[in-house]
Amino acid sequence: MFRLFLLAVASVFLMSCVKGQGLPDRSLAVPGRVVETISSTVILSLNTTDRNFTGRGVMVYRRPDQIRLVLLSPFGTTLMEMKLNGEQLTLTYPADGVAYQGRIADLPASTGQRGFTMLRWVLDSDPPSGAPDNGEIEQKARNGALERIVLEDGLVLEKNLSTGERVRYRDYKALSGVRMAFEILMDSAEGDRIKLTLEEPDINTTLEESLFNVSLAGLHLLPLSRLISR
Amino acid sequence: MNIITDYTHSAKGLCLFFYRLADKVISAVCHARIVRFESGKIRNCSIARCFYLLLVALALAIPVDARSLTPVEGLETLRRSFDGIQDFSAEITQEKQLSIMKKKMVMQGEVRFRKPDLFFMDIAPPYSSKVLLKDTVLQQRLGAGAELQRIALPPEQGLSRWFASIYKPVKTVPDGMTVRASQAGGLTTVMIRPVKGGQLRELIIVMQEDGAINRLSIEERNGDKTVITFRKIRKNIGLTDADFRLE
Repeated sequence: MFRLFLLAVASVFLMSCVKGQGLPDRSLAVPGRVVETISSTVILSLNTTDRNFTGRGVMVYRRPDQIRLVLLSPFGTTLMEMKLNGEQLTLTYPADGVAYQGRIADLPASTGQRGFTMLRWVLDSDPPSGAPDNGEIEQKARNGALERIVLEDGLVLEKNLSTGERVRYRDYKALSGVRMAFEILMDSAEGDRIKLTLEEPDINTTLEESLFNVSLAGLHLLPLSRLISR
Repeated sequence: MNIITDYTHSAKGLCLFFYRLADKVISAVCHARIVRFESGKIRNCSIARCFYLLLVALALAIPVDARSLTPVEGLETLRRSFDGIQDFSAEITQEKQLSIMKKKMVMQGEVRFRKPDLFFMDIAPPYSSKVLLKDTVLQQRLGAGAELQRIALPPEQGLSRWFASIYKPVKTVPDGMTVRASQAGGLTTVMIRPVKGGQLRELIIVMQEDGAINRLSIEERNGDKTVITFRKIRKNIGLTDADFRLE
């Protein structure tokens, strides 16, 4: 489940390549400009058959594959933290005094390898070159599954995998010459749903490397392969 | 005058109120976990624990005599501050300085409390959220138009049970923490630090001379810091059920 929400976070970046739904006019976008960085507070909602959670957090992103997200309690303390840098994933749980670090591929299957596989799929999938502004295209995804992409006005509205996963992009707005979605809805093949909403994002600002640094002070560092289900 | 006392107690078997109080405070930060459900019931909810932290701070809104405090006196002051309170409300400003953000996240809002088991917090846009805790039932709505989330807490985390345990005076400082108290410039400051590691590095409560809380600061070991400033504190104003509704 956690992997799915991670995927939802990552999916925000694709949203930067997206547009549609009677959203901002194309003229509001600067040709060739894309989202290089995002810094934003977010609201994350997870709904599954046995678990519901809504929380506020802060996320930073730098193209192509750097993400850090901190999930906060109502009084500002850290519930959990995630950092993704390429294939390297770090998860911290300060309350438990533990952190996990390793390659995504090292994740034990029992914790849901599939979610992270999707994450890479999301991060690595730029809008296909030569795709029409409107309509649907199909292509083979990185994981080998068939991928169907719905486009409108040159933006991706929806992505589907033949294995059952779906990502939808909503609430597009023009920001700093880029049209981007402020809301993403993800459905897993098992029926779990994750919603990620951006609140007042700053895009394409300079993000110092320190903003992506996760403090492991006082935490017991374990290999990612020992991650337990949370 | 500036008097600072430093005291670390190692006695065991403390069953006093503040032990429980402090446990709640520390737990709120040190044992926070993501909300988890198991068959419709929550297994662990750190968010709820944080309410206790805020309640501790709000308790200090009740006027007390400013004076030099030993750690035990400081802790006992916290406990006594709940006496005579039936309800209260306060406006708050919450400032979060996080390592992940270049700028502070500033939130404005209001909190309300009514004995024995009601707590409400309303944060204004742009980070709008409403949270209502009624004993063991936590409800929250994050963002405009968001769905209402309902969480059932374990009975031992209920507000009513917690308040039922505050009648014994504090005589010793609980294990595992260092308490420092100081008075300067008309302000009384109580600092609590866990002796060992954990998520919390330091909790600071600053009171005015009349005992009204001025500020609550929570610093985590990762360097992140939250400061809550209180103002317009009103007590025993007859809050009704209508003041504790999530619209």
